[in-house]
Amino acid sequence: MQKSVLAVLTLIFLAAPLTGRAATEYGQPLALGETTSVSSILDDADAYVGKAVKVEGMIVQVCATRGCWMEIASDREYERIRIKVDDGVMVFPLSARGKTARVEGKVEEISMSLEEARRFYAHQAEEKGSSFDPESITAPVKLYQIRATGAVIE
Amino acid sequence: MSISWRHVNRVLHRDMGYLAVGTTLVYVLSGILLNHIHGWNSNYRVERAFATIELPAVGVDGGEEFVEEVLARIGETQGYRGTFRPDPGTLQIFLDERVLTVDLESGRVEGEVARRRFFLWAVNALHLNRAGTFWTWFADLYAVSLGVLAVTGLFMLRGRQGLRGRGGWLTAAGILLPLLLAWAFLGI
Repeated sequence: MQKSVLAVLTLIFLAAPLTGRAATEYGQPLALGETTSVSSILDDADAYVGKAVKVEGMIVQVCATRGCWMEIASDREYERIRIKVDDGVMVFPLSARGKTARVEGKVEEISMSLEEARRFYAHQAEEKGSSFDPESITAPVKLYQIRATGAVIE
Repeated sequence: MSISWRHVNRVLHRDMGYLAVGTTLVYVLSGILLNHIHGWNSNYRVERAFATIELPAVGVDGGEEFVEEVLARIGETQGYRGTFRPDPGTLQIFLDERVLTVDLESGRVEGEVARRRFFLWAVNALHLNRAGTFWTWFADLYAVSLGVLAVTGLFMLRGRQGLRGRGGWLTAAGILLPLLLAWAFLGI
């Protein structure tokens, strides 16, 4: 029994590299030289869909359960863009909020019907612990996000 | 002196069993936690508190001065990392491990603290293979050991208690049930 406990503790300590540190890298190394502003992408999103971009901004929200997405602030007020990864590919820590991220990935378009949009925003509100009125969504929604391949958080 | 295969089978089953206990408990705990992570966040404990303050006269466009005054009025002495306006009526202030959300009309401040549940976060991370290459190889070895345990377990008992009797029925049920579930819910 003591050996089992010791083994478990040893395995847990091996997970130490997962803890947050300054300039933490996630996924593949960043390779693009040019940084594209988030506002440029959102102003002409259709032109960017499918294209690889590098963006930079302050992290304003992180998925609280699996760390599978984060939102970074745009260079323009009141605006942000979602950085999405498949579960487990990269895990963004909640402690990253307020830090700066540089992210590379492809711009994606997500088209949602009215019902899908209501479910999506209801789920978001549930994650944030805030209330949501489904009637506030009155039309299908088109969103843009970046499917990240690599990120650096400082 | 010849050693019977049954003896080898028993020794293998016994020793692999002892070796696998610790890691199995990690996977048992994290498996249940991850299955229900949307109902209960086993990675983080998120707490919220609320207060209402009189907003500084300088106004949110006062930038740093406004933010520092808000922090002073809620008794916050820690410096902040940055701010964000999700909409014209809201200001978010990011501190270390905490986020304050200020309603710029009412002065209501919501403070959110998210603290990692270190042990549970760690077992979840191990389960999801986030502990690096060494762990990946270890987890593969562990998976193989489970396979050895399963197969050696089939031959532990003989006769009516073994594969030819009760054991056979239970083994068949254990194979059929997941197939049935896959057919019912995944359309396979």
